[in-house]
Amino acid sequence: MKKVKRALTLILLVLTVAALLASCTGNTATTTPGTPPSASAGASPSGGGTESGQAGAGKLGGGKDIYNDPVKIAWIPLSTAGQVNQVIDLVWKDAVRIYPNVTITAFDPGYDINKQISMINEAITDKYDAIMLLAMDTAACNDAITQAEKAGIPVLTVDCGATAVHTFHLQGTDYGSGQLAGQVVAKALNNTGSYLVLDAPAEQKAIGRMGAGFIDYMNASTQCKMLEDVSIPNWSQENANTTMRDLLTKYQPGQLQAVYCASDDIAMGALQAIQAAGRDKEGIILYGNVGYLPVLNAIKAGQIYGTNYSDTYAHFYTVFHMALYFIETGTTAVTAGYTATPVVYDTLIPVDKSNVDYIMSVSRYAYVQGQ
Amino acid sequence: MAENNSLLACRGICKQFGGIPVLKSVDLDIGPGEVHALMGENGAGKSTVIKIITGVYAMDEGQIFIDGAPAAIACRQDARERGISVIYQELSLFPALDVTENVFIGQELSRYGLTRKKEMRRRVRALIDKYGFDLDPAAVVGSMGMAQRQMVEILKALSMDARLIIMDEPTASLSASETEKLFETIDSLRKKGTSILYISHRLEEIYRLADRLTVMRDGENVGVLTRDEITPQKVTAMMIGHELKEDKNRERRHRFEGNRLEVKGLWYKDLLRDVSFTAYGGEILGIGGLVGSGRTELIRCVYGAARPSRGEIALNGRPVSRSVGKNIKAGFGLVPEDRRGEGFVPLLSIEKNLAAASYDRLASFGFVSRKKEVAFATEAIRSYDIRPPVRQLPVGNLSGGNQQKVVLGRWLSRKPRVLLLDEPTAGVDVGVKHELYHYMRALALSGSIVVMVSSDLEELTRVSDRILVMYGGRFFEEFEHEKATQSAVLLAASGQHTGEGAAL
Amino acid sequence: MNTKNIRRIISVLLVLILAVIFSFTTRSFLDARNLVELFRESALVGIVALGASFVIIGGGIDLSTGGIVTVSGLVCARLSFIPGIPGALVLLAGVLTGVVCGLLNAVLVTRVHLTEFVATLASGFVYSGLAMLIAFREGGIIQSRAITNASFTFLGGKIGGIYNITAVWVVLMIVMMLVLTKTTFGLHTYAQGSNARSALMSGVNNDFIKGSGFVICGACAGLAAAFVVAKNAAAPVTLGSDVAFEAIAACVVGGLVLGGGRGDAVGAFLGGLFMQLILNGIYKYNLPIAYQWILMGAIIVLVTAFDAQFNKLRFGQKKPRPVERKEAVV
Repeated sequence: MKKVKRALTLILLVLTVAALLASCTGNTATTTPGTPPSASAGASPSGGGTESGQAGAGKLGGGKDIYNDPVKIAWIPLSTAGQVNQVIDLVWKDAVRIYPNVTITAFDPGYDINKQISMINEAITDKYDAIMLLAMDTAACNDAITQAEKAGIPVLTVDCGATAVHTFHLQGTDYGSGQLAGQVVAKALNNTGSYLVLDAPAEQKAIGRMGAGFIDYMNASTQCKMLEDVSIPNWSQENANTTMRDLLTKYQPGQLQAVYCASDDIAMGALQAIQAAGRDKEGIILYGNVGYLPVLNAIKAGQIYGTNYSDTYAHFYTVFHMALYFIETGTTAVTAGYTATPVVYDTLIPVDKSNVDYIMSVSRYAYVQGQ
Repeated sequence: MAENNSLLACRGICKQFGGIPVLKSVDLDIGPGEVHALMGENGAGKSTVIKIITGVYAMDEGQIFIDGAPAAIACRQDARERGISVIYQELSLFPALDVTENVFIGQELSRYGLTRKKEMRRRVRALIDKYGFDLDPAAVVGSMGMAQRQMVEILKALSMDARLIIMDEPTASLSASETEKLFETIDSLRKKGTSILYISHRLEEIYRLADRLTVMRDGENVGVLTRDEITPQKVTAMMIGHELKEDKNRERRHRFEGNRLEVKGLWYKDLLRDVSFTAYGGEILGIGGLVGSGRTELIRCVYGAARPSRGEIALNGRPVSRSVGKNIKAGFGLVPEDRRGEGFVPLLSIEKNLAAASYDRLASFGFVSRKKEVAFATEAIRSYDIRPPVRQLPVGNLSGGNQQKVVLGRWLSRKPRVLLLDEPTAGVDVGVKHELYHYMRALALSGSIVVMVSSDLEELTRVSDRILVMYGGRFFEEFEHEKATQSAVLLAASGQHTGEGAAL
Repeated sequence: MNTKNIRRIISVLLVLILAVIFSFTTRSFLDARNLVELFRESALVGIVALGASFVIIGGGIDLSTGGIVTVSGLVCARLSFIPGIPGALVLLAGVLTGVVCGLLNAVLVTRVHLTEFVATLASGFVYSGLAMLIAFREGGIIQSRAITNASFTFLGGKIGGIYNITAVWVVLMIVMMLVLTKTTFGLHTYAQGSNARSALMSGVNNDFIKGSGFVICGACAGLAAAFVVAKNAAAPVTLGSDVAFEAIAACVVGGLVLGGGRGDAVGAFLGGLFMQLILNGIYKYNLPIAYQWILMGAIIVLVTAFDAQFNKLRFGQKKPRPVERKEAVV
């Protein structure tokens, strides 16, 4: 028993020391809430920054001088793996080149919801000026988001939002994208024919609702018949390829006129399957989503009918700019008194053979992949 | 009727396993406060007797009396309640718990759901004081030596009011000083009136401890000796019984002096002390001695499977490598004692097991030639008459004898220059035994060195051309084939010189 | 100096060293908020590790804790929408869910005689699947819903500056330490973990000990889940995704030996704290999450290698000899 007592004493000792130290530093930290001490020292030639301190209630210039004050922004996605993150990284690199006083810190929860929540908490603890978030769950981050807003940190969500009221939400390709695709495909089909949907993975349909948008439009406004709505695990090209291969044996020539794909990767997989089955002469209309370079190339070659192009680069640059805006104005959902999160829908451009050359000339994907 | 002064009396105990009688009317009497020894060769039935006394096996016939009254012992609990305990060596202790917890495990004293550690400790302390043990009730068993662990076992037995404590080879894993400590413990138990049934192969321990000795042979009680009657000659004669006189004047085997294995001044931990010998091609060298005398360690060192702390091993003047792989390439082979654990892979087929050590010959550029593998296995199965002769059969499904043939065949197919065998015929039936001897002899005749470790005295004296007997980590006596008798070898294994051999 | 003590000092030192390094090299580590949050975030894995310690000390392993956390969390979330239901009842339901899951594990292991690894691996999948079945759905699509039941979300809050879950964690550690060292049940758990066969011979009810370990483990997982769900006011279906392995890793870092018989609740506590400490450091230095796994792996290798060496020195003069083998020939 002696050992146990000794061990317990040790732990208690550690805890006490830690708590003591914590309370000391805690006191000094609370004197300047929301801004690091250095903020007031920097002069602000742009005239935007007033004395830092309590953020003004939504009025412009109530926050920091975004050109001169040190600004740090947290970026918390689902994970930092995957092709889209190449583009996002490039956006942050370009952004901090233009704003050298700004640092953007990317966190990587690795698809673990508990880590994502704890990362939001970390951003609050470390007094970030804004949090850009791709929420893994529509409700589980609510508490952390609300705490951030209360602490004067604007939370900006991208594509995947949360139900808690926060400062800003930018919606990219989703339900609306599916509806838009529906319009284009229906027109190409002359309002009749049978189609397939290669949809988002089953467990992520809540944050990828383009398939639902497409089907809803087709049901409401056309005579087209849906054959099947199949989820593609991991949004992956390989899975799309194998799934499509099976579907092609099921639906003989003449039974299938169009395939709507929830992502461009899926579209590429479907295209490969169609080519491998020797069914590329049937003129099956393939429609994708996002506008990756390989798909744009395929559209140019007449293999894929079209896709909804959204400029991921511009998309994330927008979020960054919005974050700067909220930091500059000192706005949060709390100070602005929002009762609902303001949502901005990003621009989508349907691409087909007629405008693909222009889109390719301005595509940041082409730029990224050319590097 | 049992004598009234016996604590435990067994009368006419019989036991069969699958129709084979293992105990044939065994009698055993243990008096109060007596250290009673039980001796006999492997297979004499000692363990079976103990298992019947402690309720592990049910006897077929016979009766057990405790304090003169008939007692039915149907399970371990019965035995425990009647004051009979077995010391299971360190196997039954819990290293993570302390002495008190170990002693009281299963019978903790508790109040309101919490254990009464102080009270338990007090009681253990009282027991320790009563018997004068050198133990701390609060010490963690994991940090204790073997002798102390046995003391804890004994304490555990005493805490259950044991009147008879059975110790089966208690010194097998003890050092000399630890053994002496155990003997002191046993003396003090005897003084306090606790009886002990002491099973051992070691004669010197029996002289030191036993008040009386019961000798068993082939499932029978062949006699009881009192302290004054115990002499090495008498005991070995009783254990071995009538010794078969066989033709000792067989032709002297030809020695291939050109092929020789030399071991000089080998030390290994405290198990081998300065061991030297030379084995020659053409002869079968037998190594005798009790379990724990260092025989297994010796051949493992030679094979390269254990790293000796000092000493030289040379084959034909060239030092032997410390790597098993290199040694196999150089022509070594080992048939280990633990056949199932080390000798073969039970789930693999006969052919894979046979080929296991020969892939250097069956493969080219790292790719195994399936054709060669099959040919190799087919040839071995035919040569060594492995039954059933089905290449794909998992070796685990074969009988003990055929399993051993597979193990032996693996090496013989390579024509090894040195073959080391550890208890090669344990668990093998008589017919296959002779086949195995035949293969060993054939290998020796072809000029290879064959070294055989065996506890089977008959096998040792019949098969070996020369016998080296180990005692306490060194060679004690050497016998030429002509002079080797079972009793002489047994005496030598117990540290008694006889005239027949040459003392080393 | 005793082995137990040295091992404990190492665990404490690991935590202390990390804490000291972080306090000197990062700005916000010693921030009161950071520490309070750190102790709250450690509590999920920490409480599960406390429960798992019973299974591990008893010589087993439980891979299903992640599934149990998820399903218990969802049960809590579901029940909290019943109008007027008191938070305490929701909490109780969460714990009970864990107990039921633990019981199922116990049955699989002690009655169906599956190995612990397989049984809990399989049941963990089942629990995660069940969680998906009872998850909230919007138009057929899984989507978690924000919990508004104030008497339940109250549990996720703080009393006196310390989160309830942290307090529960510490209290639980003390209680479990008492159970492990002061009760017959605890001693039997150690006995079973260090030598199951011999424990059986000494009158220890192996199945009972084993089963109880799983039930305690399940209950802890359920308890932790309830508090975390109360704090987040939502129960995502991925709530427990990495919890099972992190809890086992926490136990190992804290000095519990897989295979049983060694370690205690304080070790599991320290291990849980340590896991979150690493994560906290990774945020502070803004390292990729990959480093958490690498660091964790490296530390587990280091401490187990140390344990092995140490046990060789202290415990393993000789392996138990198979004394009965030669007699088996009879």
